[in-house]
Amino acid sequence: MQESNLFEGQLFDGKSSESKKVAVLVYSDRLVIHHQKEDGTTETQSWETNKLKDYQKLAKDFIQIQYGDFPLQTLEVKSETFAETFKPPVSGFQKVIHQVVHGGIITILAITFVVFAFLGFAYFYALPWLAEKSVVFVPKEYEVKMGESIYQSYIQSEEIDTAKTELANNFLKQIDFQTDYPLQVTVVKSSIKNAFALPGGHVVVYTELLDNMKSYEELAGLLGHEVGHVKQRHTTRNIFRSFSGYLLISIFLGDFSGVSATVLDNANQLHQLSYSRELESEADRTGFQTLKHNHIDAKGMISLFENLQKGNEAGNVVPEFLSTHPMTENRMIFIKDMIKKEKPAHIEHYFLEGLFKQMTVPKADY
Amino acid sequence: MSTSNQKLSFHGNGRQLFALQIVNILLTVVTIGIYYPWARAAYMKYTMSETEFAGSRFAFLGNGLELFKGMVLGILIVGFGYGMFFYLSTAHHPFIGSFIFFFYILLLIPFVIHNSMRYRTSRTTWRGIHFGYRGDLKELMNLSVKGAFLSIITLGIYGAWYAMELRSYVLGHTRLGSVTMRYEGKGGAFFVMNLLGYFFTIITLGIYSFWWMKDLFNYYVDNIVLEQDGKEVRLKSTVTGGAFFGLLIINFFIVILTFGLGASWAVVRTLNFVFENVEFVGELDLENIQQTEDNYKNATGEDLAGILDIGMV
Repeated sequence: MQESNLFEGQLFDGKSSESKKVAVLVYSDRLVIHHQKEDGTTETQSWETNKLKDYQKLAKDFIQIQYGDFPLQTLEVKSETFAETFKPPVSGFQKVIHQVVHGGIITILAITFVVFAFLGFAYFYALPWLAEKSVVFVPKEYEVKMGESIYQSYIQSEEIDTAKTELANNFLKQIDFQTDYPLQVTVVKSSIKNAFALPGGHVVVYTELLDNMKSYEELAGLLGHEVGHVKQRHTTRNIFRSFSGYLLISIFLGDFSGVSATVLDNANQLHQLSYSRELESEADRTGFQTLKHNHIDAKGMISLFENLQKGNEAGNVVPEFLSTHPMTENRMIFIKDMIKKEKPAHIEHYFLEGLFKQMTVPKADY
Repeated sequence: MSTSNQKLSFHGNGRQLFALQIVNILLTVVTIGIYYPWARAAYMKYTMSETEFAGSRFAFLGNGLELFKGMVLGILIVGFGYGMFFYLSTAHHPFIGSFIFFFYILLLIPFVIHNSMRYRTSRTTWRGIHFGYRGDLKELMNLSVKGAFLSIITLGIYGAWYAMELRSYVLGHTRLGSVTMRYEGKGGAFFVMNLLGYFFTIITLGIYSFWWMKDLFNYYVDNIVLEQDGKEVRLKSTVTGGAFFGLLIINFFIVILTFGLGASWAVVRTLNFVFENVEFVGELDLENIQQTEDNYKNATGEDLAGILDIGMV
């Protein structure tokens, strides 16, 4: 029994939107289309299957086909049998896409899972690695310029202790930090126990931290740590990593909703915090190596951490995963281990001690 | 042929759209972005072919390759602009650099709109009839530059007139074969509407915003007039502030509660909402729309529009 290969359709000839009722015959390599005109005559066309311009399966029983050169002719056939009978020359890839779009929930879930797995891998491993490697392309001069402009805008609103700054810079010059970045330290009057480094070489130390130091080795340890940030280009690396992570998330979510911008920003920040802790550990390591290289007693770093801990009893309530720095105990343990392992030799530096004594005054009443 | 069948409807659904989007994302990420033009083509094909007017579906005839060529060119154009800007900035001419860059972007926007409209309309058909855009790039650039400067000088007030001029120009040069279009919105009315909308929204702590949106939607739709062989058909919006509220609030929850995965369903809801709320007053002679446009395949503006995030219509 031969299945009918005759169907009814609507033809649009591309010259106007007039719908012509046509009879469509399906053959293995072509479609034959008959249109009966008002005057009784019949127009016939033959559409070779491999010359079709486009094919859309709009529903189980709705097929749309385009054929010919510009202007295209369009054929609409509303029949489920036609949809099953007529095999269009659609590329395998198009078929796969169509299968997915109109496919089962398992396929969709599977693909969604793969996408998330891939994105997760990229976000947590691939991109950070790539971002780190690209920092090499940032020229040092650029970091110096960037750091300088950040410094200039920062220092506007701060009060500099010029005497201590001069002494601190003399102190700094005595130590070989093994870098050609232009290092410069500024002592700022503040009741906060803190210090930080900017890309390119600027280091800022607050008086509250400086005045509470017990030995010149502490100051040397602090400077070693901060200069470590500069040498390892931590700020620049942080920017790259942060940006690449943010970019990935926003590409994925960007088309969908701008509301999630705040959410993703916070999520990204949380992830960056763990990276920051890594960087701080790296700075501790670099600082230790600097002290060792200059034969300065590394115990200075341990007293530095004890000093920081004293000022921040309330601050230590912050759980480590929310903190930018590793827990102080861990930092002390790390340095103690390094001292045990590497047994660095150290000597007394009387000149440094002298400068240090001039810089630090006993805690006065403000 | 009754008026009731001359309306728009959307036949796609959230699940299909989601499936398409997720496959697009997978392939785009795996190919580090190269697949993006094909993803866009697939998206446009899907949304077009699931949109129906008077019993026939639209069709998008563009393909990924055309969009890809356009994207490459687009990236070069934008890259050139940025490169020029950086060069001038670091060569100690930051002021001149910014000025030139501003001008470059200012001229780039009408360029993108023009090319994007030309490409998109020419690749879209209904019953085989191609859409078309017959605007002139120079005219559009003049309009844009004049509009931008006047808007800056008047601290933004002229912006209402500028927006209406732009819309009128673009829609006024858009057509479906022998059916032409025009937009009748005027700057003055638009300005007042937005001024009132803004103040009432502030006074009602945001609640009025949905009615402000309704006013905007109505003004965008009700001022569109189609013309065929001397006969006119107007578009009419049936949107209410309450309906807008419903649409946006539920979309918000759909997207937020699914961490963005539900966005496809939100998009479909929005499309359905727009189509259900646009009526055609009058009848088009559906059997007699003539093919009038030439073949046009250059997609340079299209992807740039996406990259620069310029919304059309």
